[in-house]
Amino acid sequence: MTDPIPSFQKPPLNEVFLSVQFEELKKFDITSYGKVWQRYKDRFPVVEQYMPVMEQFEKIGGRRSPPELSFSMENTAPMPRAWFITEDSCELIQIQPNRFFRNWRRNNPEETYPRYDHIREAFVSDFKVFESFVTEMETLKPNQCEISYINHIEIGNHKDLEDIFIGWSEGYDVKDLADVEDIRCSVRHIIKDNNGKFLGRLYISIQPAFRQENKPIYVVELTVRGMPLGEGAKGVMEFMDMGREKIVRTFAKITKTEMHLEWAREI
Amino acid sequence: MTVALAVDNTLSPGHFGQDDIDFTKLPKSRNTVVSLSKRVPAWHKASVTALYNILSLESNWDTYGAARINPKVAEAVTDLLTSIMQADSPTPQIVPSSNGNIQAEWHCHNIDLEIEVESKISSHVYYYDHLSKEEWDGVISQDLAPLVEFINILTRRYKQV
Repeated sequence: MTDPIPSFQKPPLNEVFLSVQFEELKKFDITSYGKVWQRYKDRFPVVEQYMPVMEQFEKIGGRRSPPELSFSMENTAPMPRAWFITEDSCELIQIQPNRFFRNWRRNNPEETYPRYDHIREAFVSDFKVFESFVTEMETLKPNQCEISYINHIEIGNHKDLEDIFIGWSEGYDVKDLADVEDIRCSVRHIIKDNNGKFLGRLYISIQPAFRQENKPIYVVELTVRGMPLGEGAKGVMEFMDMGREKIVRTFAKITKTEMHLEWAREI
Repeated sequence: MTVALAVDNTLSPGHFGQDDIDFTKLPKSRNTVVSLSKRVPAWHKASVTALYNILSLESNWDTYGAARINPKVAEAVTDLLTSIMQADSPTPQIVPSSNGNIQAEWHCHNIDLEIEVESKISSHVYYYDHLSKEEWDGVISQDLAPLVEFINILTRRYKQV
């Protein structure tokens, strides 16, 4: 695509994260979390821990696994997912033995979205720190990448999704039978390169939610996930850049032009 | 076999989230643990048993210094089989390799199909059809379509008998 990537001065973005999954590190044990944190603690002084996220791989051509036939074999407790958080609670690093995340989120409405280039640079820099720790012990082998944009879009009433999203129509009119309360939908897309080779998937999810004081919003999440586009960090970042372009172009296409005025579309 | 499945209908894992956002609730049956007790294909039960036995092998199980099999490889085998097999597909033989991989293989109905599973994203596949003379030898990563086709052919012949 040669036309410029759409850009908004005031996008409804609430969170962005970049994540890389890799072969489970054999030598990353419980003491490693503290040692890694030493390298981040000046900027990320707050620490929390959560259950790990499961491995995910985008594949094509197979049968979708029926959930009742999947299981895992573990004889020890799972290693946690550590959160290293900035003092202002806007930036986050997440680490577990097979995954690294770098998140930004908007913590107050006045805060400006720092733009993809800033978040990208933060991911590259902070992942390099993690990688330098790991490679003292073993080789880090990325096997999946993920980039996700989460938007919070205010709406007067959840039933008016057609004001935001081109995929919903006011033609859905059954109010003589029952009132629409809210709408949720999700779409999966396959991403291929120019030669038709499978690269990954784009997921769109639209869910109703409420802010404080019961203000209705729609949470519109766009995620691209797949294998790195080449070896090492370069292949990871090529995927992230491709994913970001897919997400932003898609977001501009699936949202109404009236909303683009509100978000001050520049390009 | 009963398997518990937890269903999460909120944001994907990995999100920071916001404390002041409440998602509208789905009906209870969609966001609680669901316990399932369905019919499980015969190949699945046999495969799980074989994998359990393989995971019980001690190091040097082949007397030539082979390492114990990594449970992650066994998980990768079940993931792959679940993605490619039909309910009535024939049961594979499942055997360990001295290099730590696990092989699922079929030698029946004029088909040789061997899948050496290395990880969830890498399996080496050899396929030979004695009737059509079709042969395939390569690595399967993200695109499972060739494997699904081989299993489809094998299953058709299995059911014709």
